[in-house]
Amino acid sequence: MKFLNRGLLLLTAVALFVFSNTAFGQRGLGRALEAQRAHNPNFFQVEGVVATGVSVDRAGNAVIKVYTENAGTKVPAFANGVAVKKFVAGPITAWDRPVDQMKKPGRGNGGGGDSGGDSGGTNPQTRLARPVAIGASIGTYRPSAANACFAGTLGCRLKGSDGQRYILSNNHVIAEENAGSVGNDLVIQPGTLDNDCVLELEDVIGSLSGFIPIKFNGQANFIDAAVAATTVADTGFASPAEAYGAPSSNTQSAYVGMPVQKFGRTTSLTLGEVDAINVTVNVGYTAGSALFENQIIIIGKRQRGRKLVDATFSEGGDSGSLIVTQGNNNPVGLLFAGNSSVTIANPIDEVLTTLSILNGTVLSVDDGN
Amino acid sequence: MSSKREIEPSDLREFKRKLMCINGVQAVGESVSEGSFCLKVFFDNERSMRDAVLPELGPVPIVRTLSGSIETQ
Repeated sequence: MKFLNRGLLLLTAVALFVFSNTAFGQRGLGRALEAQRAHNPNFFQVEGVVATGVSVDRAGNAVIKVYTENAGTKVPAFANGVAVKKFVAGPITAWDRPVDQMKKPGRGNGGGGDSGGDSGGTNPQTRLARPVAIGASIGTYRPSAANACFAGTLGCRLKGSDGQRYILSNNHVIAEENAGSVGNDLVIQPGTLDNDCVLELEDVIGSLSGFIPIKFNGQANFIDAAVAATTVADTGFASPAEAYGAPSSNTQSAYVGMPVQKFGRTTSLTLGEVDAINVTVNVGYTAGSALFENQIIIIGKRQRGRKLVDATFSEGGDSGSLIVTQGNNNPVGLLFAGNSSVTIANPIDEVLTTLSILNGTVLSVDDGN
Repeated sequence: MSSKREIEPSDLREFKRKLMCINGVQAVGESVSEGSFCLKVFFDNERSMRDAVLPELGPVPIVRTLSGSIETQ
């Protein structure tokens, strides 16, 4: 409830701020604000109303906008003679959800393949049984450097042509934005954010074996990726059974409209659609902004009645997730950036080719066969 | 005789980079709008999206969309 109230205040404030900074829609502004204030207590008595604001319609007239959790919520057509427009926003939750929802480490079954998988905990934010399912929380253990409290996602298990297995994730997840020490830094499951910020040696599942440095000088980057050597005893090849199972070893290039899915540490299984390809994008890192080219943009989708509507595909902590096609689980991309509206991914073929050259072995997504 | 002009990939790359220099532009990608190829420009907020003066790329439509700022996840 505390977070819901904060969301209401924020949304109302944002709506007012945006409106007060626009040059359009001056007609009836004062009247609409007055009507909104007067009727707010009545609006919030209606079950399902989550926020109100003042906006403008297409004709430039000020209107009261009432945000509701679902389409069934009824709102009046007018308030003090000002038109009321309904906007179905869905439930509003706090942005600090990853930390707030942090679970105590469990000892569940990973269900990650290689050792079968029966019922048991498959929450990606807990310590999973080995071999760990892909999509689980991971982080780093740096024996000779300061350690941050954070968590990202184990993307998938890769297989080298020499038989060596690797964990695939992002540079900024397991190589600390270029600061990683190959051969020294270790990958742990779960990440420390999901273990009360405590480092435990028994959580080690891999050793950093390579990463592609991210350039912050305006030059183009193409991937944010890193690999860590692992074993089939420590890392599985599949996501939990209730997610999408095992990825295929056959990759597929993205196209606009392609239906995709991912299983990640924070938002678990989500569905989406490729919205744009060959994307040039500026991404904010702790170290600064980095330019990326040839990226993929994905927008989350969920069913609302008979319609597919936009939804969140990923949030903080999902970085490193493997994005696969719906249906055949063909790998498409490696998730590394975004916000609640859009998700950015590196094309998986570029990731595999570049990391293969780096490691001197031909890497492919391990499907368990 | 067709008057259509092919757009070279290198031209497109440079054009995207040019768009990235415009205030509020977070990303530029290739997409489809109403069944036709288009360039999609993603902005950090409504104001920058509305105020931006975008260059043209011949007959290729440029679609503005709101994404918010983009950071690592």
